[in-house]
Amino acid sequence: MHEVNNDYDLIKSFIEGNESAFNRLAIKYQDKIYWHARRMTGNHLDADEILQEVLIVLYNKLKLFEFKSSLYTWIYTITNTRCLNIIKKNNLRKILGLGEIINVKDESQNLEIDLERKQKLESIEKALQKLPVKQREVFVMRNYNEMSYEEISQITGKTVGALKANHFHALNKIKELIKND
Amino acid sequence: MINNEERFFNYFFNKMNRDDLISFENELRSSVTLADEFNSYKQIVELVQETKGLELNTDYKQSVIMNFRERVEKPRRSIYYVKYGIAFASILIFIAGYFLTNQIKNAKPTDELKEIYSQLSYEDKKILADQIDFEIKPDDQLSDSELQKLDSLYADKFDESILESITSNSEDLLNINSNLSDVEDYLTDIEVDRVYTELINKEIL
Repeated sequence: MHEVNNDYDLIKSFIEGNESAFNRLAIKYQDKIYWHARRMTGNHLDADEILQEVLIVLYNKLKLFEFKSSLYTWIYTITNTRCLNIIKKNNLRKILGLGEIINVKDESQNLEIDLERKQKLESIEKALQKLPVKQREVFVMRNYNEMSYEEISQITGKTVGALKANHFHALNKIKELIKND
Repeated sequence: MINNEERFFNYFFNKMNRDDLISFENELRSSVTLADEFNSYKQIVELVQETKGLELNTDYKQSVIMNFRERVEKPRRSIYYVKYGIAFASILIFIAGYFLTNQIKNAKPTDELKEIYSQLSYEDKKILADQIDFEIKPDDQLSDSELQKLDSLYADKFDESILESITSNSEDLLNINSNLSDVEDYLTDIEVDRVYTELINKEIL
């Protein structure tokens, strides 16, 4: 039997009551959601939490999806909003002196990764966390997700000019940070 | 770099058409400034590429859907509990409300009686106590059962059995009157007036 794998058919099938269609959608997008969240937050625990939250939102709201944008863009918008929320929450925790949630696990424990790549990952994750959130989000979307400024603008609601300026600053900072690492 | 970034991006991510690609590579060879900018950008892109597309391990990947399903199921169950909880709480509130309103309704004459009782002298209380069989409390506090007894003396609806006992013991009624008149000896005129006024108002006399 031919396996349906395009977004439209999977969503349709899910709306008609096929739960496994949602599982397939989740499997299709889970890596993208996880990595965007991980790069934005800099840790596995938050990334995992965001991934779960996004899947729940998708599950509950997928029936309302009107295909005005691509599912991919819609998922990124939800993911990015969740990331910003959790970053704000973590910042608030720091300000209130509640401390950060310490991730006792090795951050690379959930990855199939060799030592050299692990070090590079740590280096870039550290650098990313030193960027202001606005610069971080445009850097991640542009370089990791290979999005055009127009797409990023659609997700973040910021103008292309502002995004270009933020990306320019982000590139310069990352360059400096990597050099000094 | 801000102006050239888009071109670098298109070059690295294969988004340039053939003509643009040839033109860009020619420019890169001829301009040192552009080449420097390009190399600087290339460093970052290479680092990004090396940390891109890392595989999440299989156990974690499988746990994602399982955890998600658990979370989706939990609220569903709790919604049912909440629904039943709300229904149960509504019933409890209704029952509690019913008893509370009843108590408030019943409390009215009792409160008035308490006030009158507190204004009576010891002797007055003693007389009343003799007639309706309750103990005199030094702190002017009556038990609910005692107040009920007292209340029945002036309530609109006299209990038939009490009426019978009053008629059958007319001598007792006379005693009440005589006792009441004796009490006057121990009270000032103002107190006597007050007692009578209160008793008349309550239709005891």
